[in-house]
Amino acid sequence: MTTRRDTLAMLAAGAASLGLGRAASAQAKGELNVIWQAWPDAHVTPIFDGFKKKNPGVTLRDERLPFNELFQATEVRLQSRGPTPDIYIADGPLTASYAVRKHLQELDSIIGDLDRYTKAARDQGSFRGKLYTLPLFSSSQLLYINKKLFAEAGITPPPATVDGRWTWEQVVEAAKKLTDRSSNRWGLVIEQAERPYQLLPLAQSKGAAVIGPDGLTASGFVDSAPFIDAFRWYGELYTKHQVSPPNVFEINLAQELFATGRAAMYLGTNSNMSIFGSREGLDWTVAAHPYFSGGKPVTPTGSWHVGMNPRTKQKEAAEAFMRYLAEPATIEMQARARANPPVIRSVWDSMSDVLGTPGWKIIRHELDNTAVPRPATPGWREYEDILRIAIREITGGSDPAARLQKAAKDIDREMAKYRG
Amino acid sequence: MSTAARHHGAPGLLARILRSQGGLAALFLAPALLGLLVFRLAPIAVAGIGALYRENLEGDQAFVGLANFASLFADDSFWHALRTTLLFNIIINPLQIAIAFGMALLVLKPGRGITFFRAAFFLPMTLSIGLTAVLWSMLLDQTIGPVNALLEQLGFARQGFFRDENQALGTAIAVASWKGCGYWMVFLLAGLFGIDEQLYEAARIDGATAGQRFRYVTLPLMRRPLTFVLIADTAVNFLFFAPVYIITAGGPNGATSLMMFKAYEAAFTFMNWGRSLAYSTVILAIVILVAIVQLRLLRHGENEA
Repeated sequence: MTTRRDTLAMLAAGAASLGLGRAASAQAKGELNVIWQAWPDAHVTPIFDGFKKKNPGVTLRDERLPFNELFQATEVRLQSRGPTPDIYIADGPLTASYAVRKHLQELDSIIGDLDRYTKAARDQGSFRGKLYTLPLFSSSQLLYINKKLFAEAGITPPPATVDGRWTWEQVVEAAKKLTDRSSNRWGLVIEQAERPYQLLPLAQSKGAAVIGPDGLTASGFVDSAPFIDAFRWYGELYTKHQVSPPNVFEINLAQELFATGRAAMYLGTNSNMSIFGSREGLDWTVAAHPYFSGGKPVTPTGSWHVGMNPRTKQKEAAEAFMRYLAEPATIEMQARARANPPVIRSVWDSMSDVLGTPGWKIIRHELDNTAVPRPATPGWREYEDILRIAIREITGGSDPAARLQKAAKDIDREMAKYRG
Repeated sequence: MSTAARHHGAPGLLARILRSQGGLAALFLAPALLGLLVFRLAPIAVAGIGALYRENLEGDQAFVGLANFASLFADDSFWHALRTTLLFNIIINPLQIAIAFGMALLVLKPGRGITFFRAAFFLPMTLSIGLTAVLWSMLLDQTIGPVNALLEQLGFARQGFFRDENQALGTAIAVASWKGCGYWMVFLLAGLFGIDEQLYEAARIDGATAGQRFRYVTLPLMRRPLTFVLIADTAVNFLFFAPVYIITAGGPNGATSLMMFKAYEAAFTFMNWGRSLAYSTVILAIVILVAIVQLRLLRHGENEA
């Protein structure tokens, strides 16, 4: 006869064996196809190595694509609606676009406890109230200053604090004095010189709304007076004042211009702190993101997320990879390797040793006060691409009003499919 | 023949095919025909049929008849792309063939270093189109390009080339011709080699000048190679894509907005497969139409001659 105690013992044993079973299945097996961005090796490989160490049964096949090819290459792969890539890196604002087209596995049930994430990061990865992409890190922007070039020109650079932030008008005045085209030295280099991520805050600083309240209308917004004003000013950096190098749309090339002393001011992401910090002989400091006089400071934010293909044949391994990416330790490793604002709140505390520099103090202020994420629209991809080409052409001398009116019309045409 | 085969009891089908008139030819042609079917005709059928369907956001397809074409024809940017594509082709095709023909005539006669020139003219063709595009976009870059540095040294203003609305299409034509002319030259050169020297002899004895020999001997006898080159070149140029994709993305301000790029953009940037396939189908129809007209014109000329 089985006693009550025996039953309990059996239940316990059963639970233990279930537990063992779970432990065994936690040792996921399989081969994961992963699309990632081609950041410097030291920013990527440790993350992958950490996963391999914990999951020796999983082979990672990672394709690291350069930023300029990433979006369209990913798009082509996803549109074939096959099982690969199992995991892919996704620009945060594309979450809605991928989710609405069923390219993303819903993650609430896989990750659990989503309160670990900062609100901005969690919102960016969510669509209709559910998490679809895991935030990997966030971003903010700083104005990097070449101290040597400023000293040579006898100009006092803006302070490394939020107070005393320069206006764009001050930036242009200084840039004119700092530019020497004959020796290929530029007053101001913009890191993502054609990307809405970087440049929408120009229009927002002048008070423009960048998309309609429905998230699907560009006419009346992308071609509004403050929007056109902001981009007329931006185009003149290249055409009238000639303080910025035309046609430098490659991030790496832009970074090199500052890293090799060919740019006096460089508006770029926080991650440059680690890149420029490792360059010997480069004497640099940081300042806060400029704004238009009479306007308000607005800064970009949001960054890279990671999505899981719902059609994956490697569900177990893919889920293991996603859970690994949601661990605070992984997010901390990522933030230490690539100096980006962490997306898990506890990591801000565990990394307080690093996050106390002037640059990080500015970033914390921006993220709490001035950061405006890119608009949440399923049509972000179309919006971004059409506006990007328009901005590129404005830097090449196209009339901003006419070009933005055309862009607004083109965006509205492509948005039609989301209006249903 | 078939009676003999039966009489000897030779193994059935293969033997009969081999012995039948044209059977052997068909057998040898089969691999090429199969390739044509799989790599040319099947994709055309897929495009033609796919153009009648529309895919929703979740990838489900629905038959929509000619709706994709209707919305295409109602779109200003389609007509702009069509005009740009036709303008591009009206300029580039005669230009490339004239240059290719000129180069073929230049390197026809044997002489010192002629092999060098023949190779040099052909060399650009050996570069991939992607490489060509990257190379020229760097050479012609407004800031770092050596061509502009040279222009500045010579006292000219820096030019926008691909970044200038008024120069972009012309620059694309020049770069495509830099690469393409040498290739077409080879076909025309082969045609020129095929002309019997005695015909020139006879013309010379009859007192024909060099110009007359070209007009009345060379041109009529070059009709066939020229027909081939004209049709093949036109087809290639209607499908001109990579430099637009790599360098201009259809800009500046739509100046290089060619239909192939619009087809690509519709599919891979705007996720609108129906529109993309409708674009492809329209391009195919134009190419077929132009080829028929070209064939008619040249055949007409042949009868006259």
